[in-house]
Amino acid sequence: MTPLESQLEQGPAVYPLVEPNPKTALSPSRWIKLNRSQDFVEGIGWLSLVWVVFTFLVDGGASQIVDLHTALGSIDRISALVATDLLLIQLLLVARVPWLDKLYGHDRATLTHKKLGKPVLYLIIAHFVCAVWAYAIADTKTLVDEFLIMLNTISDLVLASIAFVLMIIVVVTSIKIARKKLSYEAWYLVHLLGYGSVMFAIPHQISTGIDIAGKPLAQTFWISAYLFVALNILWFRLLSPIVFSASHNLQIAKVVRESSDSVSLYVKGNNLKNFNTQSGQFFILRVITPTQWWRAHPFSISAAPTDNQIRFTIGNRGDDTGLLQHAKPNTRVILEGPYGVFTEDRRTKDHVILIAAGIGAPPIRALAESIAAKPGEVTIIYRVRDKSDAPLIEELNQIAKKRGFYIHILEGSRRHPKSWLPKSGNDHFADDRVLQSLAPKVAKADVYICGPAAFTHAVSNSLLKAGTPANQIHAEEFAW
Amino acid sequence: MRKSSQVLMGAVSLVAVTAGFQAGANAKSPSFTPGPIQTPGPTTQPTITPTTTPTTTPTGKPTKKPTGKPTKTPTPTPPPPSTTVSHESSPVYYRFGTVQLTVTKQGSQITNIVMNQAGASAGRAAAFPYLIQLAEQAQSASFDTSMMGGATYSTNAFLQALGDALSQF
Repeated sequence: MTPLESQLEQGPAVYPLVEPNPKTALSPSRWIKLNRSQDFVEGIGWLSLVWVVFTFLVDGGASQIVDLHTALGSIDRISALVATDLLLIQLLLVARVPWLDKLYGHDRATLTHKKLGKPVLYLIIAHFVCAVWAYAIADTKTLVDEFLIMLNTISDLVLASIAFVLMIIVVVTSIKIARKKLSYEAWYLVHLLGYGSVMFAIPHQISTGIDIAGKPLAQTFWISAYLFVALNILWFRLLSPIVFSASHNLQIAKVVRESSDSVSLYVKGNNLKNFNTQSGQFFILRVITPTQWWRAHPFSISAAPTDNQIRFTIGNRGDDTGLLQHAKPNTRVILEGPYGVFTEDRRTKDHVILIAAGIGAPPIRALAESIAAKPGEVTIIYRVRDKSDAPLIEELNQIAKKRGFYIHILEGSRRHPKSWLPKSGNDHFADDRVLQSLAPKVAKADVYICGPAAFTHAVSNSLLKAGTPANQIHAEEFAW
Repeated sequence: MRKSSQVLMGAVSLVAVTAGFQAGANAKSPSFTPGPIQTPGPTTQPTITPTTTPTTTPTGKPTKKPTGKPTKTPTPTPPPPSTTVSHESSPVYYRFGTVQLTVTKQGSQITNIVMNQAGASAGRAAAFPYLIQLAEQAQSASFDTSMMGGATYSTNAFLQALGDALSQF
């Protein structure tokens, strides 16, 4: 046994389970409510764009166009306005605000943030080029000369130009090819420049922005939009995690080995019920040590939360998560969250199928523990490489036995590259047919999938083929 | 977003864009109507010209376009002293060009403001006729410029030049 191993306790033979949730009515009205709320939020976002375009048009933004010069002036203005609006939406999407997370989940919000990245940059480039070009025409100078004149005569433009360069850096380091070559930490530090970019751009908008400067209504709109986003970021991303973690006195209680490459991290604290954590949700965990405090990682809770303990089960992905396996008891931690909509809130059917692969097991394990169900209503499918070295496998068996759930452990390497199933006696059946044999109610069940992206996609495809409607498939991807 | 919501949003957007465009095309937006950047006019030295007949008929509003000769005095009584004095401001250099103007006073009344230099790129020069009108109405360099949005710098440069010219009287 290595010195490290001796620090780790063995997991309890029988994990104390919480009482499952009381059964709630699973009516379609839930979905209608959710759709309404989503449409409301999306509608406000869209209307902010419409408002910006509307005020621009009322000011003669489009009707003033008579030649190249005026056309450039108009493109310069509208691209800046739309880009700023989208940029604020983008910031809000990653502010981890609970009211957005409840509607879309962290992964969808982050995905939308990503999708907006390039269009916003293109708009900002258009704004920059058209502005310099339009003034160059007015002053009959070359583009470069005009840009230098603008830099010299317009004080806020130096800051705005820095903001422009920062924005290019932030977007370029976030495209796929760059992300592959950069470590997460390097990318993260560079990405923080985005906040600087947004702030450096504000002075020139307020002082020289044709559509803002000297227009009380527009000023009110933009200042309140900036304030709204800034307060959401400050509170939800920065202050609230610190305040809550300190006031609940969150510390590491113990680290317990689960498999050769995973550990369970027990976090202790007071009155943890106040977090209102649900099984299937995750926190962003920050261990407060001199070297690790700035590196935060998302982890799903791996047991239904109790009032004095939250448990995470963490795989060693070779990066910082390896270091977490060495975390010392009584180290302070900061938790951001809980986040995610991979919960019973999204359930619509009596029958539930829980599908996990490898280190995707934690949220599935927590859901199995607390989900409201009668015996026989839940089927657990756990895809592992090796039964003897799979995290939480004992606990899943224990829960299935106690609650009367079906459980299938699928062990071994994939039967072919596109399949999510291991080799077995029925290899001539397609994946969806095998799934139907494992869970006959598949088409009438809510299905929760947690695993690597490729696995999740393969299972989703099988489910759709087996007749499960798309809105009954709930997936949590941790590939972001 | 659901289909019905999309349709609703699309309709709202369409109406907003159409209405916005119409409003923009009809409005006499001072700062955004593109106008030619005016070329510097001939500089005039302060001159004193005795006028023979001061006009006494009051008119409700001053005319928009600056004209070479004083045509009206807003106050009916008493007849102002019969001298017309003009002073030229020193040039004001600012971000979008140079502004220099000449103010003509008949007695204590500002009767005329002429732009000698009205430099303002990207169509901002269109603001000056409105500013002249406002200044003639206010009879001073302090008046409400809140409607001059979008031409803040040109407006400030104008006010500075106007103040400079008025200070010479």
